Amino acid sequence: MSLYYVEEGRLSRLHWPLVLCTSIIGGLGVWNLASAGRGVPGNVWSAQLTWLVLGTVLIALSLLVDYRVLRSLAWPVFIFTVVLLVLVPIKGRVIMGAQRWLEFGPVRIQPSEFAKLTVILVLARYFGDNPPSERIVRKKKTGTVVVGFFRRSWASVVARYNRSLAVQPVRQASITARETGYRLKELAIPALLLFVPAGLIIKQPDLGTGLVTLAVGGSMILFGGVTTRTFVFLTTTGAGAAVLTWFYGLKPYQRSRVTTFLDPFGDAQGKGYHSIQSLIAVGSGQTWGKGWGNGTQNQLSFLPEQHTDFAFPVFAEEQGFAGAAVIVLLYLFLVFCALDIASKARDRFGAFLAFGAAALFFWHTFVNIGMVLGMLPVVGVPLLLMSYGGSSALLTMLAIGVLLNISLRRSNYSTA
Amino acid sequence: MTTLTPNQREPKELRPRAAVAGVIATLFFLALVARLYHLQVVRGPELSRKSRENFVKELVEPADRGLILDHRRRRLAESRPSFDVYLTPAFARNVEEIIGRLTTHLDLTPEETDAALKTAKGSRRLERFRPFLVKRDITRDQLDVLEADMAQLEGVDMIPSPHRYYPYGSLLAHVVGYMSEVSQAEFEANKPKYRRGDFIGRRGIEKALENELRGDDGRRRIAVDAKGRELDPEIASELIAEEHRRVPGRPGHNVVLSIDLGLQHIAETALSEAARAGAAVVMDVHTGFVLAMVSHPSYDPNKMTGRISRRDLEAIANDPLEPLFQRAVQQHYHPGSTFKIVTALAGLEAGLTVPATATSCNGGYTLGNRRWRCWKDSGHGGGINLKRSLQHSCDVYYYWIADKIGLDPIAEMAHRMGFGKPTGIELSPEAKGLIPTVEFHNRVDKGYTRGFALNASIGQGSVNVSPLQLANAYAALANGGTLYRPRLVRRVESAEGELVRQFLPEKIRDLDVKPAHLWAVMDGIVSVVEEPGGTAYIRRLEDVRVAGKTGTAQVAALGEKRLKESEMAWAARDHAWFAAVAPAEEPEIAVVVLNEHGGHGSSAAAPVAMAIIQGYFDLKKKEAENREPLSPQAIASMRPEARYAAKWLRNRAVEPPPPDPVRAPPRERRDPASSAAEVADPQMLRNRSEGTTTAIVGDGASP
Repeated sequence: MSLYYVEEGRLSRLHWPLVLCTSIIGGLGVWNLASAGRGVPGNVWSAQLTWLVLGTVLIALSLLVDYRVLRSLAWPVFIFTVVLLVLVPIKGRVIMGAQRWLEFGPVRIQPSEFAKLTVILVLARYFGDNPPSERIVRKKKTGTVVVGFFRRSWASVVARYNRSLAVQPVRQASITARETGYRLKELAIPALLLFVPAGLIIKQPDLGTGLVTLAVGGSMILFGGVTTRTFVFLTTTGAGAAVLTWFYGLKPYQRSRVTTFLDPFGDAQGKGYHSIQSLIAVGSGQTWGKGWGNGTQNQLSFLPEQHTDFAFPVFAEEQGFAGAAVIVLLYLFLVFCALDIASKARDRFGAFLAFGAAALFFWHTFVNIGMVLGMLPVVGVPLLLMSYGGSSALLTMLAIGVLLNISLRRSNYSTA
Repeated sequence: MTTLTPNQREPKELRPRAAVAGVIATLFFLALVARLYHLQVVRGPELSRKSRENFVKELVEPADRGLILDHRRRRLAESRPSFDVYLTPAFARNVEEIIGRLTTHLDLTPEETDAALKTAKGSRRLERFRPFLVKRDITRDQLDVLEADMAQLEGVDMIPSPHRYYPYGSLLAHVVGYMSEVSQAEFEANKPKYRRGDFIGRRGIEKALENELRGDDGRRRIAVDAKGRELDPEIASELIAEEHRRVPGRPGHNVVLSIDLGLQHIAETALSEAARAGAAVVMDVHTGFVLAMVSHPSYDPNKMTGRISRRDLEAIANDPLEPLFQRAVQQHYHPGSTFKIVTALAGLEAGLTVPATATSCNGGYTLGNRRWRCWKDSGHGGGINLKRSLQHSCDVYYYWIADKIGLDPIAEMAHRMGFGKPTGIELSPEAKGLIPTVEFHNRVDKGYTRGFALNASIGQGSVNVSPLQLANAYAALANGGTLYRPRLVRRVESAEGELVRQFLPEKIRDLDVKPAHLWAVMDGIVSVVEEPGGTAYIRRLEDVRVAGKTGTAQVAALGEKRLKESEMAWAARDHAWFAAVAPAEEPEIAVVVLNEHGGHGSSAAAPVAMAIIQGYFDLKKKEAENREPLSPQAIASMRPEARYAAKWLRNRAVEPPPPDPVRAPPRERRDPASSAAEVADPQMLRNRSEGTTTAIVGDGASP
């Protein structure tokens, strides 16, 4: 058996539900773009179709190579990505007020898109290589987490109190338990691997991609498992960091996006415009939609960016609640497929890789749809497979390819 | 097998976490579905409506503003087609070049160019799709040039918008007024009715009858895309139902004035030849309708309505003669000797004098240790009774009356005659003038003394009247003692010509003065013009007997030595007045002429008034003789002033007056032309024929 060939009979192990689901979403996406792209110069839907077909070919080719090759590529790719991200502010092109693009002759790439996959890859390698150490910990039989948290001082207080009452202090019996999960100091390296690229992305500024990257990385860390203490620490510092970022880290336009999100009608013609038009588009679709090509919000261009970030409202307007809910459920199914692959992977590396892809799909979908439905601030996050964009389409297909690769090469006996 | 990974067992411990992640993802996505349900099903109808509002754009079709017509139905104000130039930044690829082209084509001033550039470049996002005004009301030639160059002018639109036009320019500026854009405050106050950039009547009749003239704007609904571009009619008809597409408006009403343009022109010409600044008012004594009203110098209301350049506006605003001022109504002056009729009536009514009561004048009147001078230093001698005092304008006679009856009876008579209060004419703001009383002097000065009454008796001191008030008072004197509210508007008609509103003469009050006293005063002012020795005797007319009173109102304190007029600065010279009624025996019109700082009433104001009176009767005669347009021979045979007016009228009167809807047979003794103006008023006709009101009694009973 060679590394570079699919073992015989394994094609049947190709994750067909994922293939099917991806095809349906991609097909609906192209169909939707054929309507949404009418107000935009160029032929958007056929371009998107071309990208997807190209991506499919890439997937087919990549399946020939075992995904574990990626493990050895993790570090070089990471370093390469960080270099690109550092280059962006120096040599990047400014588009729409932000420096996000790098130009290499005719090729224009957006390193931040690339970085999301890099983070997944490098974290998968780290967590794959370094499983958390298992420890025996003593646990009090009684007592709350809070007591445990302030154990020393609290115990002395209780002891003094008991003594003063001249009651024999009850020595609480302790039991032992095995605790798995990363402790804080074990997370130092993954944190670095996550925060360096994410910080560089947010700095560009590309708040949306940066936050998605953080969310994906954070999900992977939690997937790796952390101790209770670490969990508490991470959540509290996370909240604290969010507050600090709000006051010191955000640019005014970013902050205003959030405030507009909270009250879009306060500035209906200005910053709230996108949000309101999107809500109107979605809502006016009602239950059964206005029909393909009949969405006035879309066709008359009241929707901004209707072929990229706001592709979903076009679908919701023209296909109604019936269509939009189906799309959401399809994405949920996509996430399920990825999670399924993650839980059946043959090794930790593959599991983390697959989980990272699942997290990527999940967060992209949730942030984008949440944003167009007015549940989240307007940050520029595309809806994978439905929003138009060459690099986004290719990277999505790449992720799908990796997922299929992992499922293709899972252990024989693990199929249950 | 492999070198790829360290030998690893399958990571089974991760499976429960993947399951937890699946549950979490499900919850999150169900939240999305719930939100979708809320938006699309629960709020669906509401948001559907909003999506319709998005693409339905309401366009306003401005109503045609009504015309302002003189009483022969010549158009004093009309709306002519015009074009405004707009630029939409989003469609102009090279804004600088396009604005550069517009600058050359439209002769934009540097400020206009800068403003356009700033707006074009400063607009962001959707604003860029909003057309903004570059130039209002371009000329026909400019329109042609733009149309020829349209290929180069991306994003430039010429939007038709009716523009107010005053064919007679400055001739009636102070009566007709002008329009300008609504201010922010007016916009806020009248929000549904007026939109930003709308014009509103700013002065004169345009302002007073704004509501009648304006009409109701129509609405048109079109379907637009997000960039505001109108959609194909085909698509639009799918989106908006036919019956919702247009709501018709209503054009404004036409306003018919009592002004006679011919007479107005005569008055304007006569006054402007004689005066640097001044006013003239001609009124029908029996109705209070104003036939002509001049304020000189004037301005061009066409310029004030939108087209004016900054330089022109500054020139008008900084003109020391203040052409924007409506002198006939808005300004008040010392009336000088024209006020003596009030003092005379006050003396008669107080029982102090009878017409024959005489004093003698030795050139002044001594009260305490001060001497009030008569205008004639040598004095008028003895036998100065009421008639002679008016004829020679002797001041001492009036000093004496004032000394005997005091200030308040004079003020009371003045109030009765309409002084000291706005007359109620349509034009606003109106100067109310000032009639001092004892109480007034106690309050304002250091206390009342007899001297104040002496000053007031000859229209000096604190007495101030507007030319219109003076004309109205003389009209009341001439018509037998009825004070009418002066009026400019006779009728309001719909655009189709139906009568909407008619304004009847409105009596303010009867003077309640004995007819004999009125007669005596009339007799006195007839002698001013018609008897040798009268101050205006040399100005008398050949074929019309006129009653009038000169006035020379002092504006600067007299020095020890009387200066000659030519030695004084213009602003220190006296105001010249002449107030007249004609014909003397059966008055029809009251005429007041004020020549600001013109000097003597007899030399600076009376000739103007006489020219107006002559013009009035000439016009009336010609019109009675000949309803056809005047022949050149007929014009050649007229007096110079009337000739000029007639020629001008022939050139200007674009359409003959339509027949009056209600035409009654001309009354005997009265000329058909002048009565034609009044027969529109059946109420008045009835009054006249039955002779039921004092006004009608006065008609026949005037001296």
